[in-house]
Amino acid sequence: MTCDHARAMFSELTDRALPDAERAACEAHLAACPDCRREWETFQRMLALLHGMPRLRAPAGFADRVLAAAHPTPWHRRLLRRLFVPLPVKLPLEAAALVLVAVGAVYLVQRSPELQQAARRQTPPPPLREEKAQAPVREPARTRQSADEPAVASQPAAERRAPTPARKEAPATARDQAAIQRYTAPEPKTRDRPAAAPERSDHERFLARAPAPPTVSGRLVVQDRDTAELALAELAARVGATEVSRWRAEEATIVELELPRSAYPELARALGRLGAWSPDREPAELPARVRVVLRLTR
Amino acid sequence: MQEGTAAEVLERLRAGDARAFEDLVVAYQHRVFSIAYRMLGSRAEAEEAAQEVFLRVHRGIAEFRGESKLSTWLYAITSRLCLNRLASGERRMARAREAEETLTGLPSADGDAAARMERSETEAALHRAIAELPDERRIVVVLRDLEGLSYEEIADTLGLTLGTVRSRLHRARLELRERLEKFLP
Repeated sequence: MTCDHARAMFSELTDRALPDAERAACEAHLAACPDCRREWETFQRMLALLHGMPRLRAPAGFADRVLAAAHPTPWHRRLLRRLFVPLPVKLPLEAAALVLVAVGAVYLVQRSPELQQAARRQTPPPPLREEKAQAPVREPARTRQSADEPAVASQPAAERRAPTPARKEAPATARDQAAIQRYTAPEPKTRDRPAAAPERSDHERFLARAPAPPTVSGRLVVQDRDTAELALAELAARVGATEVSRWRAEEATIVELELPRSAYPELARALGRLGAWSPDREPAELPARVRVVLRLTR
Repeated sequence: MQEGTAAEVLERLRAGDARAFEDLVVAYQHRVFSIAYRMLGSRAEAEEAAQEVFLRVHRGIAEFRGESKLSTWLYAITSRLCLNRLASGERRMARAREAEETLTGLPSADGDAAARMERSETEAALHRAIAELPDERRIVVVLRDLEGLSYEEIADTLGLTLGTVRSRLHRARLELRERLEKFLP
């Protein structure tokens, strides 16, 4: 065996891929040839270096990426995962955001009068009967009257005029009187109004609008209220008075006029001609603008 | 992966068991990546190629007739994919640069000591020497000396005769010995 022939067999000799006869011949040559033996040893050191190379590893997460590519996740699962995963981080954040929104909404409602008012309107009003029982002298609200109309209309006329004691409702005349007195009375009456009551009837709101006690107040007794009301309107126009308000109750009509001081004497005289005018309050010194409230009764 | 286990995984893959594919990826990911890296010389490109290998296996498992071992089929796909990439014009132009690339930063099975060794001059020279081998010889050395395949397995994987495998392997080793002469005591 020549040296070239022996050196050509180094790989197969190393990998034990030679037939026995060839392997034996090659090994014999190496034992006899120092040059080939040196070459063989160099060849083996090179192979040792090659075999000693560290094994490489796939990057972290490689298998997950392959699996994800092989089995694409549906879009809704990806969305859910983005929203909620990792749970320990995202769930507390979402809960905190929810609490913040709730606190913000409550704060906004408490700070905005319009929103508060809207919230109050949504609560149903208390039953009319209960209110009447608690405040017998208060005039029922106009809106509630209309709300009650079908029920009232189904009752007999006599019953409507004189309510049954079971309803604990004060007679209409008493209520009217109380309303008239409270309206025309001076300051203490205003203060006596149930300011603490959470809801006020239309009449109460009407009274609340009265800015101050009238300058002059009194009672005008006439034969016919309807005719007198018309005549009063004409009279007011004639003397230059402004009709501020008019409230018609069962027993009386309350009219509020405002006029210049110079026009008051003529008004007083004309009132005497319309009926029996008896002022309850008529100060000697009148302000520049006189506010007159009169009760028109029969 | 043991031969019996590989056969079982193959059966499960054919039966459509999704976990079988996961087992296959976990079992072969490092070897496939290693071959791809040694052939392509770029970590990013090796990862992309290795992923493509597994996706091809996933898509083509029904076509695998089982005439060779599952591992041989896997290495064949890896080798063919790498050689095709290397044969592209763009890849040839990039090879000169990548031949200079060292193994710095690559994860290895032997931890810090191996990493230090890989950074050594000898290691870098060895890597360069392998990278500079012709593609058809390099793949034989990688499969035999780095992955430990037998001559027959290499012949099956690359579709070569045993004689060609022997010849290419020996030429490659002699070339490496010449290039690394100064590092060999």
